[in-house]
Amino acid sequence: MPLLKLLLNRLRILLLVGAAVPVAGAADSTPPDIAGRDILTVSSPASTGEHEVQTRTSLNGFIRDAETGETLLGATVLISGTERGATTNTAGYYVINNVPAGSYSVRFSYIGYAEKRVEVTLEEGETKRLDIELAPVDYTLEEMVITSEREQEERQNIGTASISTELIKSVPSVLQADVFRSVQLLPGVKAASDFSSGLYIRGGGPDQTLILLDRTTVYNPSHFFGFFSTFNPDAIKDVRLYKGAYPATYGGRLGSVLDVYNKDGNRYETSGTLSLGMLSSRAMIEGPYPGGSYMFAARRSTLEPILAVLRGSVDNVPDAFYFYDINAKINYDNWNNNRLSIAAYTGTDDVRFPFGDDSQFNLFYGNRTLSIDWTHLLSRRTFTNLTLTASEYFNDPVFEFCGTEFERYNRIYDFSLKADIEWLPTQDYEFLAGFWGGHKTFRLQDYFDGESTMEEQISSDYASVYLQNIWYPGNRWKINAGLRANYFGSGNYLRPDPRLSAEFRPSDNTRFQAAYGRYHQFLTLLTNEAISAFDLWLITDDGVPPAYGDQYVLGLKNTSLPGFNFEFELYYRTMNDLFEFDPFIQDAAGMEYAELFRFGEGYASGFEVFLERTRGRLYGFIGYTWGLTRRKFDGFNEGRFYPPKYDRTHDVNIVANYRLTDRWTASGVFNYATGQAYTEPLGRASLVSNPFNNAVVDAIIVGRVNASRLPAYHRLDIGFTRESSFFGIADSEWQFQVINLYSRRNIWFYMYDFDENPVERNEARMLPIIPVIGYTVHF
Amino acid sequence: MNPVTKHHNLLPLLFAVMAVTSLSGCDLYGQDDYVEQYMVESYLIANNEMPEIRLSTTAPFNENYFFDERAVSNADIRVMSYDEEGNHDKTYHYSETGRGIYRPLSDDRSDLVQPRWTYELDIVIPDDNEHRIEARTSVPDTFSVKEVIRDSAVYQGSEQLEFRITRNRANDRQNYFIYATRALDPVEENLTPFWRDIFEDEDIEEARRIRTSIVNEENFDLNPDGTLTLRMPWIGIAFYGPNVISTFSIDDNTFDYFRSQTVQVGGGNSTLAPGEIQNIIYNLDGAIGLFGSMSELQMEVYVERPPSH
Repeated sequence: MPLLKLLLNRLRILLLVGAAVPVAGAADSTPPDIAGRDILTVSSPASTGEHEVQTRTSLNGFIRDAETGETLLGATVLISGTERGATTNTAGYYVINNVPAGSYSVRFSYIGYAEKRVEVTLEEGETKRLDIELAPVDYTLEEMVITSEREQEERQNIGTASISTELIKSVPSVLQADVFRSVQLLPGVKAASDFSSGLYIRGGGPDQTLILLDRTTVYNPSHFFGFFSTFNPDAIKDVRLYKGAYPATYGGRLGSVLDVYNKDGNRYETSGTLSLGMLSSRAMIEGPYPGGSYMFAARRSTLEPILAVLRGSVDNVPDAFYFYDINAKINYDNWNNNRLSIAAYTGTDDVRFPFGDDSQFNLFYGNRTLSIDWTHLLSRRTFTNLTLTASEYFNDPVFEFCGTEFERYNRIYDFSLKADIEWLPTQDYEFLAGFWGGHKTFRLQDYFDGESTMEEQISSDYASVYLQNIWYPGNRWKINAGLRANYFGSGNYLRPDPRLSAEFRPSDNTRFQAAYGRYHQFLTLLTNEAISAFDLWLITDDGVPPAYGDQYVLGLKNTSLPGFNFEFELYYRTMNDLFEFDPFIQDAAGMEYAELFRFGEGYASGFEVFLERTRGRLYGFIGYTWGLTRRKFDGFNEGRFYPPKYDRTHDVNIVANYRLTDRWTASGVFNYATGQAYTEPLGRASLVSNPFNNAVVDAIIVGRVNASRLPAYHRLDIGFTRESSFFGIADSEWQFQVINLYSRRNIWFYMYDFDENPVERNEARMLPIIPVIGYTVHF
Repeated sequence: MNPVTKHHNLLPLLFAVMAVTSLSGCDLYGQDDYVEQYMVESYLIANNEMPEIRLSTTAPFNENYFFDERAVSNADIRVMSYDEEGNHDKTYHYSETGRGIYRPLSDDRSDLVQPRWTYELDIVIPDDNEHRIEARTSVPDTFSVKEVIRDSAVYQGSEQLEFRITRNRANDRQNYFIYATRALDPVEENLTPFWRDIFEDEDIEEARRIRTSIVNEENFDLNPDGTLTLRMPWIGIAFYGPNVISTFSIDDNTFDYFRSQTVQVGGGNSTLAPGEIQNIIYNLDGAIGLFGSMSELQMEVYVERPPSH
């Protein structure tokens, strides 16, 4: 392998250092300390162009929140005058290698934190540990820098986006703050409806996004019929979205990756939040203990009292309706060269809903995850990370009509081991390799009237290995080449996934990017885009090959205008061997697993424009997406490609925040999108003499499926936040929001009433105007 | 060079890329117009007389639809029968007995549909430039009750109506069934709670005869002697008292039509997004509709009202 040989030939010894010192300052020539995976060591591709002498000089350390000690992911370090810099990895650790000896002003920055400058003198061959704490800031001053350029650069990697927890909590959202609702504001990401938090990214359905929580797969990411996601904003530290052409370090999905990390916990003092909302309430506590920190967050619906009041006077009120989720994490980092963390999540939705006389349904679904993560600094230039994960998904809907039950039990049990190693041989290379293997059990059982009609259990070993090399040839190029090999035991599939991306910087502020990748997916999620409680996970097997696709992305990023980021990305992707249940199969009894599926293909293309203002009292972004998505399945729509319902040609989001006073902040979100695709009925006919019951059996005649468009969607949400004091003993916050300010009744879909002649068309509409109020106490 | 200036220099390139993308992605997938089609309806039931055939046209979706107004007259209709070996047995010529309703000529009208035989439909419409419609169906074999395990039961009691029936499976294809229940005492007081709620303030005549969706043969218990044990689900009972339960074993055409029609109206296990409508599966050339066949088994049962109702 020439690349590897070249890499080895250019191997340089690189020393990384330091015992963890949880205060700002310098500690010279200390032993190696821990850091996590994906450490980001950047020798500036846009440096001066001079060939710099390789030295053993190194600057490294952790960057933390000054108030909580929480490590900051993606924070920026820049050495003034050299344009050398780095961003912290997922452990909050940075390394800058081979800095020429001398005195420097080093600048540390992170979005939402006050910038810090430290004067540093590096001797030849010196390895200096420099841990830094940054203080969070209020956005009160016009000139306040609320972002860091380097962090913006990191976020501007091709296909990448990130969203801050502050934004998640500040933008208006229906009933309560939500991670997925905030992610849906980014260009390239669409929502199926007001009622769905599902992520439809660059033409892919929700199953095409790998969702990781503390490195563990989450199969059911939603509560309340899919209305909002299971991620508690109080518990989250970092949200990273790889919209497309993601690197070889990830795999298993055709489209994208959402990587969510929970907080480690406050390392200095015990603190927490209590939040009361209209739908649910939340509590979070975090704090230190000898050797580490912990975090515990819980959220539960608070609808029961309202339902109890309604039950006596209103029909069809659920007998039971609750959901909850719990996040817990404990870290131990007082251990040389090592850090251990254990994270757990559990969430459940339970609804028992009687309807009519003698009928009811029960929806019971959720997810549980557990991860044990061990980060170890193997040597001063080699980081390792080992994670044991366990994930359980369950969805058990039961319908009962006059004593006849329809039951379904869908389970996924997933146990895995992940190992990653990152090697930093020289300043020009990062070399990553990893393994992810485990055992997955899929179970689907259907019962009708107490009798089993379908019973599938597929257990499969799976494994993937990857190699990834990030190379900085010359001063203006960055090349990321990787290969991921995937094995899936069910069906005995072995599939290679090459990945390649390149970046060229003609100037300090401009980046041209290109990326290609092949992706395989061994699971699929059946969802009708309406209610996630009926979602069904399915798995590959003999006769059901994995779906695969190619992604091509071109990007242009520019930061020429002070305080503004401009991003443009053009994408094209294919989807092959898409597999999902044949919707025309009414009863699966007696059918082979492979016979239950229909197979199809698709493609998506489009471009995204993103303009962001990052400074000042008024900040926010405008995102525009032009997109086209098509799919086809044998035997449907005469074999023609057609747009799925969620396809939208134009999609504009405007997100703005304005700091009115020291206490008051206003925010607004406006969304405009082309109406979704639907099938316009062209004609009708009827069977009028069927021998079963003589009832009229209506037939709708359609032409091209989903060739018509609903009226355009648009909605304006506004919100005001007032910071105050809770009886002088804690900080508190009131949130007043109005969702859909001008009460635009956007159409979800059309329904047809055949009892009328001619047929009457009715409209299922989305959310009306909704006022929302919330109160949070930070203690 | 000033970075901002450089940025401006990139704009033409950017717009060019966007324009090319937009043009190359021009959406040519437009909505097509309504085209009138012929609609056929006919059911051959084993050991029943040769059936009538209804011929009509479709209507634009936003217009009134009445069969009489859409009926097609003056069509030349033939049905050819073939025995199990595929030998041509007879050709039935049809005549129009009502507007759009065709029956075999009187001499053939009493002929019975033969199980396991194949019937081919051939329609020519002289008034439409000799437009031709063709279809074929193979009639499922008949089956019978081997044992009445329980023909009387308390509604939603621990014991269900239960029968042991012979198996009429042919080749490797499993059979598909539709249950239909006809109430013999369909008065409002006899409505079961579920159906009473559905037909509240509506004409209960429609509840007198109800049917299930398609049920696969593999749902039944297969006994060592090759018979099948059939248990009637309570959802198929709309009235207490005497009922006639019909079990229909349906052919591929009926199977395709009803499984896809159910999805169109949002039933079944459809996972299509709301608003996505797929056409019904029609196994005809030159028309839409159903030229189907089936065999039927009837059993009279008695459903007792539970003490609490």
